[in-house]
Amino acid sequence: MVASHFVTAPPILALEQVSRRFGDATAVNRVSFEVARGEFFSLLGPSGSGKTTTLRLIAGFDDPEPDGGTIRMLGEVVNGRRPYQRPVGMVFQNYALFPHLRVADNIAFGLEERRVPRAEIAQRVDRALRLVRLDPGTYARRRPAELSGGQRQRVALARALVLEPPILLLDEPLGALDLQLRKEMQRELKQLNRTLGITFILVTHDQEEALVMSDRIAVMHEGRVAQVGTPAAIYETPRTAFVADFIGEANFFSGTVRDVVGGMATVVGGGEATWRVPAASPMRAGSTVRIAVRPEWHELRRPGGEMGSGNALPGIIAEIIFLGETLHVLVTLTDGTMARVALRNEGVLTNPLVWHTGDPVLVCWAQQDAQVLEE
Amino acid sequence: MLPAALWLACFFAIPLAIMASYALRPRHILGGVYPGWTTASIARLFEPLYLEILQRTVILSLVATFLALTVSYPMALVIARAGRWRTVLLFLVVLPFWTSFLVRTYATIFLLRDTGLVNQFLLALGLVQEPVQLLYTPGAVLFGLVTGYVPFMVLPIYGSLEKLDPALLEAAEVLGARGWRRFWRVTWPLTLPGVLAGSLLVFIPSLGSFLTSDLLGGAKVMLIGNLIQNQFTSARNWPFGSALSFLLMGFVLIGMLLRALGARREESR
Repeated sequence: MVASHFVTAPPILALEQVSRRFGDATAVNRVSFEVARGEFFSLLGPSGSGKTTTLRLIAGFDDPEPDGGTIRMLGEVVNGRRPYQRPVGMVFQNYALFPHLRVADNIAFGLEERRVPRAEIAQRVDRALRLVRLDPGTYARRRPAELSGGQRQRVALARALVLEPPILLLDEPLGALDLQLRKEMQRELKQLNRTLGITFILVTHDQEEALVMSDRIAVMHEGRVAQVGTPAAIYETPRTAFVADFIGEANFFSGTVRDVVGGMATVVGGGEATWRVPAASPMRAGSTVRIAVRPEWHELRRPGGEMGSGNALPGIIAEIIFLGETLHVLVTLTDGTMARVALRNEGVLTNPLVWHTGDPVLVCWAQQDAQVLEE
Repeated sequence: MLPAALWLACFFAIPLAIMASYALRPRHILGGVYPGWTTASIARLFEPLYLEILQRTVILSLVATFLALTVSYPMALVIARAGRWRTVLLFLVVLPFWTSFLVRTYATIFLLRDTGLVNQFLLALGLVQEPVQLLYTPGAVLFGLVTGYVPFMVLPIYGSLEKLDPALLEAAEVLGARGWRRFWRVTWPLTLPGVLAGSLLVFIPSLGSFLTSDLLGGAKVMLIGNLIQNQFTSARNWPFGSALSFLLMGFVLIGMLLRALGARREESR
């Protein structure tokens, strides 16, 4: 072997400039990303963003355009290979369990196709059922119609996992479950991913689900990858307005750069207010800037108080919304736009809010707490 | 409920009861029956001649059903996968119903007779030196039954193929089942209800058919339907005709019972 510590392990899955058109519509547009072995990777986006098409391209139900990029698995190009020739397993959106087969036969299906000996099949089916916390004695002989949604989900998982695929594809697997069960399954999926060492690729439109489970997320928008990163990076440093808006909540401010001095840009926004942001590379006097600020990065202050070095926009409180652990204060700024400020609820009954609807306030944020967006 | 019950009573239960009583009465030579009771007609059912006709009818109907299935399943598959041509193809399947069954059967005669299209074609190609006997054979009757009833088979099969979730086929493919394996393990078992329904829709009318065998089989292929028709018309033996009708109905009921049992098993799954 050549000194292997110089060679980073090849990604288990790599998409390079992958495109897929349907007629005139481009469903997937030059998508590239790499997934490391054992990673929990999510494709997150609204419906029509191309996330499901991307997953189907990975699964092999569909292939990229003839010159629409390459998909590699374990270092090999898999374009043109059928699903069963790829190192993937799949959990379908509505489980796609075979209704005419018992639970055990559903799970054994793939093993039988691979000509695994009978005795071994029985053993592995048993093990797979236990892995997804279903008691083989109770469930093995049931039909899918006799199972609850959560149990079907587990059987679908067992059916895919029993083949020990290096990569497991999950297409909105938790969409049909109620909230409680969904949270439970989220934890279990994450745990399976860790203990089995199988790479999970999850398609979801649920940002919370993606944030909770993923090691990394690819946010998709209009057929492209808008941003790839860890949940924290995506939340804290969204690169585009779409990402900032789709994951969590954000206030957007835009304006024109007046000057750039010492790494800080002074921006004149609507309503003649000025604020300062860390200068990004293409910024110069006259260019337009758009920033996103998370509601919890804001602070409310009384006008006329001490300003410090932060940014502040004057406005009037329009509404106060009680959300349990947080309170959202909606402020109408002088240019007419709304800003949302999140305050921690420290017990409004014992510790009444000092803010009231109609109060004039300053919506403040620290200069470095603004995320400058790409156009 | 009441109108339905009344309808059933007037046009089904009462006529059936009349038929049943006729089967048990002495025969009147001018048609109709004499008062009194006899089991002569019932006993006659078990004469070898009639058992043979019954056997021939059942076998022919089974073969017709099987042939219709082998023709219809691929047709239904093609239609189900035809995308936007679906409607057109379905329309073409139903189109023959726009002409009467009688006219279609006569058209078959023009196709199969010695000077018919098929023989002309074979002669023109030099494949045969003289016309082949096609008409008035069991084969002609089969051909008539199959072509006549294929739409009844195609539609239910198409219906169950249509209902088949494509994700199931994809799931089977990721799990390694492809082509024929996938067909036998997933598509076929899940479309069995359509196959069963279609088979009954072909089998039952085939059992009772008399027009097809009369016109395409000539006198050579007598089926139970022809026999019943004869008893009520030229033979003027209404009791025996009634008894034969009940025998035929028994077979139909057995078929439907099998189907009902199948359906119940399907449900309990």
